[in-house]
Amino acid sequence: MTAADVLVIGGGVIGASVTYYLTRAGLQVTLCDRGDIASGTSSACEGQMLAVDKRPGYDLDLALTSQKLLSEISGEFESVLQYQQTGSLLAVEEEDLHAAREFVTRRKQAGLRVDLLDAQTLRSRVPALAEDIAAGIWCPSDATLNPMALAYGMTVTAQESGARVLPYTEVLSIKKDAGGAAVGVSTSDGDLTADRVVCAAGVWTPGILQTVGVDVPIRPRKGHVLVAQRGSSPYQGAVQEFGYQKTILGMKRGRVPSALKEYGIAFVYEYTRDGNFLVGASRQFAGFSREVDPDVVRWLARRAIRFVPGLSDINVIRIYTGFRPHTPDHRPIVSRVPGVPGLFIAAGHEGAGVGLAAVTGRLTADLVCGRAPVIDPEPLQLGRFTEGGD
Amino acid sequence: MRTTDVTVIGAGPAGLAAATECARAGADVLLIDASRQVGGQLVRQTHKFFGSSAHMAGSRGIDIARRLGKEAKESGVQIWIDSAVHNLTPTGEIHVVQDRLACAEKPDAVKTRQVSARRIILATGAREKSIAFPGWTLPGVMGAGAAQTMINLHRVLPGRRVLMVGSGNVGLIVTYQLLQAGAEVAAVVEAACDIGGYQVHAAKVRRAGVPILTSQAIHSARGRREVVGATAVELDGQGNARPNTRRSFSVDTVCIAVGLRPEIRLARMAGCRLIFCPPLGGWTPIHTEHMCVAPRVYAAGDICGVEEASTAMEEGRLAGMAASASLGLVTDERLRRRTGQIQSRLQQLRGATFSRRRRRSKQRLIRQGTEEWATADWRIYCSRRPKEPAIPVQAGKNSAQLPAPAEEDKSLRDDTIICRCEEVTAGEIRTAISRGARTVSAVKRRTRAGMGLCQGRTCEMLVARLLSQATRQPADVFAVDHRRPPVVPVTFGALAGDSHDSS
Repeated sequence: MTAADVLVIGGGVIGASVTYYLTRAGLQVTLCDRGDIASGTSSACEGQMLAVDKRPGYDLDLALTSQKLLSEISGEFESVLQYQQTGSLLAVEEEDLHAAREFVTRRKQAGLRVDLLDAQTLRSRVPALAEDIAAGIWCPSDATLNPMALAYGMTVTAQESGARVLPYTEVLSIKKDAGGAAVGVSTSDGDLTADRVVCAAGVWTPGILQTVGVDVPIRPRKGHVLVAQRGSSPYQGAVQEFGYQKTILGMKRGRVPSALKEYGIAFVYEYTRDGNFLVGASRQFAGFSREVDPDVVRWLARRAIRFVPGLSDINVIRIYTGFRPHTPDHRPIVSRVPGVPGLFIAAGHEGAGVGLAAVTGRLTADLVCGRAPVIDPEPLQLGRFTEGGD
Repeated sequence: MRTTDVTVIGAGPAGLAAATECARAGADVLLIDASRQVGGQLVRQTHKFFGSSAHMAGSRGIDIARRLGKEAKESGVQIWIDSAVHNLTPTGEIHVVQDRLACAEKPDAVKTRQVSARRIILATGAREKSIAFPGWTLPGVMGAGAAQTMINLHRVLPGRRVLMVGSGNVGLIVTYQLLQAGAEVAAVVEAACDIGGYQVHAAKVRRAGVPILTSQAIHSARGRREVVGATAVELDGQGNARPNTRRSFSVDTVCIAVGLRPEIRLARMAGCRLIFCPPLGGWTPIHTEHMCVAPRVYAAGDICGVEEASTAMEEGRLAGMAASASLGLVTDERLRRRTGQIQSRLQQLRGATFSRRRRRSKQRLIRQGTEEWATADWRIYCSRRPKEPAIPVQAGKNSAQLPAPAEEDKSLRDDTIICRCEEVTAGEIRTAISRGARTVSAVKRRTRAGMGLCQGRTCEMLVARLLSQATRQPADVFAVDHRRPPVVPVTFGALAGDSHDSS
C-alpha cells in the first residue's frame, strides 16, 4: 500500500498533463498506465493543435486557452515537443464556398485571426494542392506538435518534481471506502491508495469507471493514419479538407462517394518536424479492433490524391490505427464523478486531445485542488449526459 | 481480383518446389516474388553445392535456380516477378504491388493487384542480421549478401580490401568469392571461439591465405566519408573486450555476415504462432510435419528456421503436397507415402549436415505445432491479432535457457548510431529504456528508432539487444516484427489502386 495525494490513471497526453499540473500545484501524484507512457491513443493519432475547427463560443475559448497554456509551459519540458506554429489551412471545394464564407465570418466575429484565401492566393502558397480547390481558410495561430513528446515531456518534468510514474501497471478497479468515496485503486501490481483518483484513460475510461458502477458515454472511434516517407513532403504545414468538419460532427456531406461517408473519411495532412508527413483521417465505430482495413486505406489514399495529386508517387511506409474517445456531444468530460467523492474524470476528447491536453490538465488540477477554474467547467460535466443533469 | 487454389509467396528453392508440387497435383498455382528473377538466394550462388545427387549436388546455385524455375513453368505455375506482397489480410487476401523495380523512375506506373487464395504457402526466406559499432553507417560497410550480389550478379567489386565479420557459411563463401572476384580479404573475424561454417569452406579460405581470427569482434570502422580502416578487438568468454588487444586493418570495405534470421513479417500477419529458436536464427512459426502454420496457411524453407537450399526444397515439396491434399487433389494414401519419403530425406540431410541443436529445435517446432493444431489453443493465436510480446519482467520458461548472442563487443558507445534511417543513437535508446520503455515498440515511440524507410528491419534487433542488456533478458525475446501493413513501402497511388484493382 502506497499513499499519494492523487492517483492518475492513464499516461496519454491527458493523464500526463493532469499529472504535470497537479504536481505543479504541490500535490504528491502517482501516475499508472498499463503500458508505457503514450502507448494508447496518444501514439496513434495526429499532432494538430487547432482552434480554427472549434465552434465559436465555449469550444473555441477552450482551445485558445489550451494553446495559451501550452505556449507558457512548453519551455519547461526537457524533451523537444517538436512544436511548430505552421498555421492551419482548410481546403475548400467549390460546393462548400458559401459555407466557408459563413464559417470564416463567424470566427472573425469571435476574434480568431482567420482569412479566406482565394484560389490564386491559395495556389501561390500551396502549389501542391489540386487546381480545382476553390479557396482556403487560413489560421496562422494554429500549431502542430508531437503528441508522444508532449506526454513524455510532461511526465518527465513532473517526475523531476517528485511525481511517481508506474508504467506497465494496469488499474483493475477503483477502490471505495465505507462511505463510498474513492480511496485508491487495485492494480496488476498490488493496491495503491490515494486521497483522490483521476481517471484519464481515454477510450478505456468506461471500463474502469464501471468498477464503481458509473456509466461514461465514451466510445472508441477508430481512425486510420498513413505515414509517408521522409523527405518527400509536398507542403510543410497542416491542411484539412473543409468537409472534415462535417465528418467530425456527423453532418451531411455533399457529393462524395458513399465509401467516404461510410468510413468517415476526409483529407487531413500534417507535416512533422521529423521531415515526413501524416495523412488521415477516417472515423469509424468498429469496437476495439485495431486491424488495418485495406478498403479504408484505399479511400484514404484516393481522397489524399484528390486534394494533392502529387502524393500519387510518394511512398507510404507505415499505417496505424487508433481509437479516438468519442462523446455524444463531441466535448470532453472534465468533471467530478457524481456520487463518488474523490473521483474525477478527464477523458473523451475524440480527436482534440492533443490540442486540449494543457487546458484539461490545468482544469482538472483546479477541480481537484478546489481553486478557481481556468475556464468554466460546467459544459464539461459528466452529469450533462444524464437526464436533467445532477 | 485473381483467384487461385494456391498462392506461393517467395520464389526461392522452397517456393519453387512448393509451387511445382501443387501444380503437378493439378492445382491452379500463382507464385509471387519481389525480385526480377526466380531462385531467391540461389541466383547469386556461383559455387557448386555438395551433398546428395537428389539435391543437385555438384550444380551451381544459379543453375539450380534455372532448373527449378523451368520445372515450375512447365508444370503450369503462373509466376509474377517484381511483385511484392505488401499486405496479407486476415481474410486471406493478398495485396501485391507490381513493377516497383521496373518502374523505379516512374512510380506512377506501379500497379497493385489483389489475389485471393484458397491456400497460401509462405516461402519468404531469411534476412541478414545486423550489428552496430562505431562507423557502421559509413559507406563501405555492407552485408555480405549485398557484396555477393554485387560481385556475382552485377559484376561490381565492392572494394579492394575487405574485412569480413562472421565465419558462418555465408561469411566464408563470400570471402572466397571476393577473392575470386579480385578483392583482397584482410581477415575473417569471428566473435565465437569456433568457426561457424563448414570446415571445407574454412579450409579453402585459409589455403588462400586469409586468416580466420576467432574470439575477435569488430570494434569500429574508421573514415570520414567512407571506410579507410577497421579495428577488431579480442573478446573474453563473456563477450567483453579484452584491454589492449585492438588490432587495426587497412581496408576500404567491411562485410557483415553475422547470421540470418527467418523473414516472418507475413507469417505474423497470417496469425502464425511463433517461438524463439536460436539455432534456427530466431523467431520462427511453429508448424506441423506437413508445414502447416495456420488454417489454410503453410510455410517452407528458411522462414521455418534457417537451414539450406536442399532442406528448403524438401520442405517446399511437403508444403505443396499437404496444401494440395487439403484441396482434395491428392489422396490421403499418396500424401502419407510422399510425406514419409520426404521426411526420411530431410532426416538424412539434417543428420549429415546439422548439429544436434538445430535438429532438435526443428523437432520441437513440429512437436509443438502438431500439439497445438490438435487443441483449441491454435485458434486463439490465429484470431487476428497476436498480442505484443509480453514484457519479460521475469524470465519466461523459453528465455531462461537461451544464451546471450556473442557477435560483437558488448561495450557499445552511447554515440553509436543504432537506427540508420532516423539517426537514433545507443545513448538515446538507453535513456528511453531508463525512462520505462520495455518493448521495441515502446523504444520506437520514444525515440523514432525503427520509424524510417527500412521499417525497422535493420535496427529492431539492435534495439532488442540494448533492451536485453538493460533488463538482463535475452535479446531476441524482445524482437518480434510488427504485423501491420504495408510490409514494403508502397505509394499512395498504388494504395489508391484506381484502375487496376479489378484485374
